[in-house]
Amino acid sequence: MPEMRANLRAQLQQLSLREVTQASSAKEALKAISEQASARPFDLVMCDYNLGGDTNGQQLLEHVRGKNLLLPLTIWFMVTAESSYDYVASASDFAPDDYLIKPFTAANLESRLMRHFERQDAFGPALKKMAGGDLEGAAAEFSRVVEAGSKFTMDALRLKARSLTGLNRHNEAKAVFAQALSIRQGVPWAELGFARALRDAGDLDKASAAATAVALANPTLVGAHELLAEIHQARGDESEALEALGRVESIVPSAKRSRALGEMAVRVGNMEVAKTAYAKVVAATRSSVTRNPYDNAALAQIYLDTGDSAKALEVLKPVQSHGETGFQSVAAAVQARAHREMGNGKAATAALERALQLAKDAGPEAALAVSKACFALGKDAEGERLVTAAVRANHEDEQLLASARKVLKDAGREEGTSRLVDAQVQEMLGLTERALALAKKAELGEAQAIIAEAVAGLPNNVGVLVAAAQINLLFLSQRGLDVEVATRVRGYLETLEKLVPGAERVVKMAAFFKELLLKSRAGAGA
Amino acid sequence: MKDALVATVVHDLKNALSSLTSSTGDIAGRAAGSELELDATRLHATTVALSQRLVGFLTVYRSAQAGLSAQLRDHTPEDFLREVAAGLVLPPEAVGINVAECEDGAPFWFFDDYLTRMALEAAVHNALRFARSEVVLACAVRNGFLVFSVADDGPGLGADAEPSTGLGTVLCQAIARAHTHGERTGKVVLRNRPEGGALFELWLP
Repeated sequence: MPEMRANLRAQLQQLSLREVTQASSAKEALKAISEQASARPFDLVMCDYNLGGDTNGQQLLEHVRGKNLLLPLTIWFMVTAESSYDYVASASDFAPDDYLIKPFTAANLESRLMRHFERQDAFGPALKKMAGGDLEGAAAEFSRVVEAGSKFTMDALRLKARSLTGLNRHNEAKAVFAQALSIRQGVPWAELGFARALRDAGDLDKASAAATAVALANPTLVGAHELLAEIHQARGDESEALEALGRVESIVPSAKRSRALGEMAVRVGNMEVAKTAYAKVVAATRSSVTRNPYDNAALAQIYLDTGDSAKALEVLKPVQSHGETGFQSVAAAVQARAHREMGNGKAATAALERALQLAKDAGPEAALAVSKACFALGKDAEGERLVTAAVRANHEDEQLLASARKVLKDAGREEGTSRLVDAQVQEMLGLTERALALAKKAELGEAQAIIAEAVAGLPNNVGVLVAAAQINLLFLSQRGLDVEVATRVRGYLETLEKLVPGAERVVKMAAFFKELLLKSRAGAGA
Repeated sequence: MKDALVATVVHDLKNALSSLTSSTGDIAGRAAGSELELDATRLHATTVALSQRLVGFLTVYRSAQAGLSAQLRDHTPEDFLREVAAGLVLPPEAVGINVAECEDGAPFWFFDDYLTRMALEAAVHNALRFARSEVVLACAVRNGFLVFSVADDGPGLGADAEPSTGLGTVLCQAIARAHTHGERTGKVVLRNRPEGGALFELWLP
């Protein structure tokens, strides 16, 4: 590997690319990319698919692009061995800009780079707009490239569709994918994009048929199986979703995919699949940049649920020092249950006390984990209080509500579901509806007061935040710009963007807010 | 000997040869301008050719075992051809390789650039065995196919030359067959040019 990096560096220097940073592992690469991200992001990344550790090149690419650590203009070359090229190239629709198959010469590298520099010239304005969040402008630029009949037509169509998807204009995106397919039938990314656009536009039946066809024609295209899993999940077919996620994980094993499989298996109650999946995650990320202590906590809970308390404690050991409160409360809850099962009453009580203390500052998922320990140790009132708090923290999150119901069921307390879950949801809905109704009756002041109180008590409840943003936007549109109200709206929208990134209603409100601000500025200027 | 063992041994040889190729490339670079330049270039070209033949053999082997799958992506044929020509590593005595302007060229076409490059390199190496003064690479769109061609100005097909294993032809045919579009499949055509010399054509749907 060091020899190969030295060769590559020499080849790049032959091409007058002199500022080269080398990394010998995914960890080092991520560190270098992160450090450069805010100063001057790299123009080119050359990454071997086989990085020798727990992270492969595709995972690193997905991680880095997912965290926006590189500019859209940055070129990513994936270097692969001939023997793994088919597998690497066919499986992912989250593709690098190009593949280089070993061995390659400086001349090969130069011609590839020239092609990509030319592409950058053609797409420069559009990609800059994309990076700046102007997706509308980017889509228009890509249209120009397509209309010119350029050699980059297919790529321009792909990126135009991506821009339109980002704008939630799914039917238009669908038309662009169809245009690509009219140029060449069976292009996997266009077939898959078309199926996704159908799903995003809400047509689950057609989306399911289209995704099934893509998966059949491209059995290793992991995105097709991921889409099928999402569609099954949206329809409530959790067993089928679990099967699709199993296929996803077997095609391109990765911690992220095993985690998704594990989560679904827990939800469906297939503890054997869940155990295997989470065990893989923990093993694969042991010394990786993507290590997440919650995976150990999840595996520990699965061991507990399948009666293996000693293993539950063992799997927590390597991440015990992780300081995040949510994790610490879950870990303490697991310890409490494990000690209880093993007959260590004192240790169990001490761990539960710690868990309860920590749960005060942790999120709803941690609260549910601690509630399980409460029920196991006979602290029923505390358990109920935590279930209620978790539900109230985000009464619109179906997965969370399903987990809350499951906690009660597993604890043999199903009779409490209507009181502890359903009634809480109704109450929260009633609160937001009352505030919205007042707002509609033009009693904006009272509506704002009610919803502000609700936000203060439940700062991360999506439904409450949406209602708060709506009411305050109504205020701004009717009464004109008020700096304090506008600041509040900005805060709500920022929190929502973090909690539910890209959600359609949030995107729409953000666009409306921007429009209001522009109008008021124009008005002030006139 | 078992097939799997053969494949493993060949794979090991390929890796060793890759490493050797990298070293000869380095030596050829350092020998530039010295009295060893020609020998070093010839040595490097020989190791590259050996390496390509071995990769070709592995590809044919894989094709026979599990079929060959083409990763179809859009490429600009003329750019691609220039890349292939620029990437060739040839001995000093080889005749010139020229890329003709592509007639009726398509701005882009769907094909597997890795496999297609392998086929064209094999065709060029074959053409170099017969060419007198030049080998010409070209592309055109005909009857809904993209046609890459390699022409030489040698004695034409059927001429006596050093014996060939036929690996190149089998490889190119496997690569052509891996390219499909609807009902149509790629093909290889070999014929004599009216003006003399042989013509290799790779038709991709």
